[in-house]
Amino acid sequence: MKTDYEVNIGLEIHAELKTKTKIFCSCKNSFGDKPNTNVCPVCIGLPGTLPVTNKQAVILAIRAGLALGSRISPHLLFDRKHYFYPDLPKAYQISQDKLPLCIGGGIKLDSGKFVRFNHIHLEEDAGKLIHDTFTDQTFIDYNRGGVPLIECVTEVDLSSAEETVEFLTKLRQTLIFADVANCKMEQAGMRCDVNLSVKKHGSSELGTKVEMKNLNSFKSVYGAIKYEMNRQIEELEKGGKIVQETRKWDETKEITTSMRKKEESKDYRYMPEPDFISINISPKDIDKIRNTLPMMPEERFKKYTEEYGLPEQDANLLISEKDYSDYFDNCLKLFFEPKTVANWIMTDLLKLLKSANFNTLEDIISEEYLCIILKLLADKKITRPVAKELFEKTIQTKNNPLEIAKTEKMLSTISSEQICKIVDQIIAEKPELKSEYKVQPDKITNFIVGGVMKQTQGKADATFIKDYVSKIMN
Amino acid sequence: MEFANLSLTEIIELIQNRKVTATELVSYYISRIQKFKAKNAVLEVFDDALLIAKEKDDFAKSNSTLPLLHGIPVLIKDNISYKGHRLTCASKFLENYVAPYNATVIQKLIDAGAIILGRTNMDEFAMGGSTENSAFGVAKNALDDSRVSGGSSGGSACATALGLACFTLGSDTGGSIRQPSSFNGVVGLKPTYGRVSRYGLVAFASSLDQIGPITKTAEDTAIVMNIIAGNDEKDLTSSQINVPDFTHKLGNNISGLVFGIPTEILNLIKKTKYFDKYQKLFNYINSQGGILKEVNIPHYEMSLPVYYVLAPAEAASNLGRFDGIKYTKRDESAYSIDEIYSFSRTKYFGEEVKRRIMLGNFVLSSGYYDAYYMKAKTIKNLLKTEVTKALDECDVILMPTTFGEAFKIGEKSTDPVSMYAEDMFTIFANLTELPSISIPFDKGVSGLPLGLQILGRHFDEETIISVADYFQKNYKEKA
Amino acid sequence: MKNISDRQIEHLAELSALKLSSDEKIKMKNDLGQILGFVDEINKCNTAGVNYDETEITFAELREDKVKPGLKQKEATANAPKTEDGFFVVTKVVD
Repeated sequence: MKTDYEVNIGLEIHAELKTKTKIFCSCKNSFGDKPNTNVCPVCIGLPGTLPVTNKQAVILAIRAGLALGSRISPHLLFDRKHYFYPDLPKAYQISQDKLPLCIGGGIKLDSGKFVRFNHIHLEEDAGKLIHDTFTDQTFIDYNRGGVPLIECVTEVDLSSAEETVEFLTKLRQTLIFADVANCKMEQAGMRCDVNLSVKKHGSSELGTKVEMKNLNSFKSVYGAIKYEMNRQIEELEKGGKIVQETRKWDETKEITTSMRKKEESKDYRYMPEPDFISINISPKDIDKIRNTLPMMPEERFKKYTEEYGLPEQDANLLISEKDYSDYFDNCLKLFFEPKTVANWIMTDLLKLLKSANFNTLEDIISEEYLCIILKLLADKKITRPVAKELFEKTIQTKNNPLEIAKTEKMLSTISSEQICKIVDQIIAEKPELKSEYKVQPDKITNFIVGGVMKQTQGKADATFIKDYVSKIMN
Repeated sequence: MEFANLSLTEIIELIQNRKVTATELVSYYISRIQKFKAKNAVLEVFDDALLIAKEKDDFAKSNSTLPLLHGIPVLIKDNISYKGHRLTCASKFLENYVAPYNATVIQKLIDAGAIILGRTNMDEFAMGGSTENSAFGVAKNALDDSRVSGGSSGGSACATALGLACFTLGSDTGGSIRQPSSFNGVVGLKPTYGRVSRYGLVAFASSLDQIGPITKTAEDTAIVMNIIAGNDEKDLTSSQINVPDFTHKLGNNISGLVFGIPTEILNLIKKTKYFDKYQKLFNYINSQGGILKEVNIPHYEMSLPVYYVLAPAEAASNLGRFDGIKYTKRDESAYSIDEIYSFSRTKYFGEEVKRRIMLGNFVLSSGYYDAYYMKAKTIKNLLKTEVTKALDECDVILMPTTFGEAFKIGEKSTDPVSMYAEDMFTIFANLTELPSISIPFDKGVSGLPLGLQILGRHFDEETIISVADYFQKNYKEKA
Repeated sequence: MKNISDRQIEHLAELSALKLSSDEKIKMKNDLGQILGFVDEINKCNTAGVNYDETEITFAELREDKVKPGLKQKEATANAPKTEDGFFVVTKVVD
């Protein structure tokens, strides 16, 4: 019976780091350019070339480890992993085997279960292969070759497709918040290999594991796990055996199929990379990097709910994307009204983000401009409907909303006649002001300005008042 | 004027004093290379050399100061990358490969005004000790056509000996500069590992390779080192250590200098025919105030087996990139991707290269890695410790470069193990990363040169160059 | 002389991406056997406790993350045996 079995899942996730250049050469780290245009002698493996490690790649990898609770190794050692495949220009990948950069760490799921990492290591990406069945050819583009990757290897702690997707979502969120990776799965920025086996409850030994490679979306991961676990259980129920192999997920048919690969040729002959001396990572280096770690989603959630008093639902929405959270935090620096800012983001901005052609909240309207509008509203210089109108106009024109409001006379003002009338009235009630003005002009002017502001709830234009006072006093 | 008889130092003076033009030099060497074509030392004379020479001469007309190596023609070993020029490593696989970038040392030579004249013959991918493994024919000894020029920098050493350029560059992984220099009667230096950038040198064994000069005199060596040495941001194994003026100790005598002779080496020398010649040298050293000291390198005999684990392992790794896909020839009969790899590599790699790749993969493979590769690496470290200790007691270490004179062509090429055993004296400096210079110091039974190796402390090329210079000027096989 | 099996030679040839003829395999078996026989000497060496302090690179010495121009597409593919539209071309790889 299906329920007699439990599923054991381990993951290997590759994430491309968001450096400007590749890990071992100064070529641009970029997606979507013409083939073989972001290459150099080093990353296409020309004879005589040598790798030179990118400091930022190491920093980001360490930051990822810190964000995920790993211990950072005191030395950075690279190893060569040897195999022949056309996307690998040197016929070896510079990776880590003996001493991964980050040891341990993990992610806590909502259920409280802690999914552990065995380690996280640094390595270089391979090029891209495009297969053309018509002409029976494969086209090779080395632009991606040499892009820095972190490989996150979990322990066999996951037990279901749901848990796996939750884990991957949280991992993705952490990497984005740690500002180390963009994790754009459609651009192969994050790839997942799943190792799955099943065993009967109570059995001490794990079942034979099957590897499913390069699942490119959470949907594929979910589907592949669901299919494969059922396939394995059915096979075992029949009295059959599970073959240790690599299987491919067919997105259209929604099944996994066996890949025709020879298992024995997987001797990678790991060898310490002789083109580097090992790199020393001091506690001071690690601390410096720790200080650059942005606040993680859990910490932000705590701050938003406990310090700012936002409801949990709102806080969750804000931390669902680093962009929303950063935008929110930046606005608070200019205008510290968390509930107001949160509301505007959640209702007005997010609506626009989803419907129109904007990539980030800042593309819609800058934090500065939004806060100008919110401040005007708070100061009652504009009404709520006017604020919405001003918001739209700012988005359209991309001009400073204060300028727009002034130009289009959107600010509620008291008319000049009204001001003159009030000033006249104040002087009429206190005729001695005229003589006192001759002795202390500033003091009297301020007194009159104060009086006008009181009667107009601060909406009058102070400069105009002063000019008028000066005119009638002389 | 017979430039072939002059040293680099002398020719530099002629150029700087406007007594000779670059065009004259290049033309001279081109016709001389043609004259000695049968030696097969030079694989290609670059057809832009004369044009560059003319540009140099034009420059000289309108400039009062000339860079140090202005107009100096150099031949480079065919495994050093020179932009826009062929780079074959004496292999059929790279027969049509044109390098799209300059090695750092090449850029340095060019910046110093030198003219890269052509590329010299070598053992394929630097694997061998005779240049018999070249895909383009063996290079003959400068002094005797029936004998090998040595290897793997056989072409460069022969070219220097025959005066086919002002000097040549070679590379040394297990003796490939020093052994052919010894066989041809010229001076060859393997710098300390990390002293010269490896960027642009086609890698054989990454932890052992170094580029070095092959010259007529030790003084010439110092001049070239002043140009090519130094840290390179493109090579993380190049040292940050300060680069001195390598000529600065020239002229020092050897009085008070301590010469270490390892007991293990003495025992080996006693097995050669030439023990009496070394004895003569030791007596001379004594007579000049040098102090001879016997030192110990207890595990010296491990050098050869350790080298033949580490070098092939790194070679197998480094040669994986030659695949019939990116820049090598491809076997036309290959169809599948597996065939593209295996047919191309099988067809275009020579026998010795294939043997070393197989050997390398053996020692790296699962089940053997710890017993062979890791063990060899550990012994390498042990040897480094032992020699560092020995160099606490002496300033330099002496040993032969080879067992004897250049051997006959074909004599050793059928038996790989006996060929490997020839490296007995040279491998040690590569494994321990020490600088070592070979100079001709005497003659063998057939009248051919015998080489003496002088090893120094890490980064102390100055001392060994000055000792080499002293011997060259003062020790003429004195009775 | 070390004994290398035929299977080992096959495996090594596969790791090396070489296709040897039967004669070549026999010669290789013999050559490797001889070489490994002499290399086996290293087993005699006692390496317990061997330590050598290698100098390490510090963080500061690593490369700055600045883009530098590399090769143009034409230069990168200039030596390739087969290219098309800027790609390197091989026979279709079957997964």
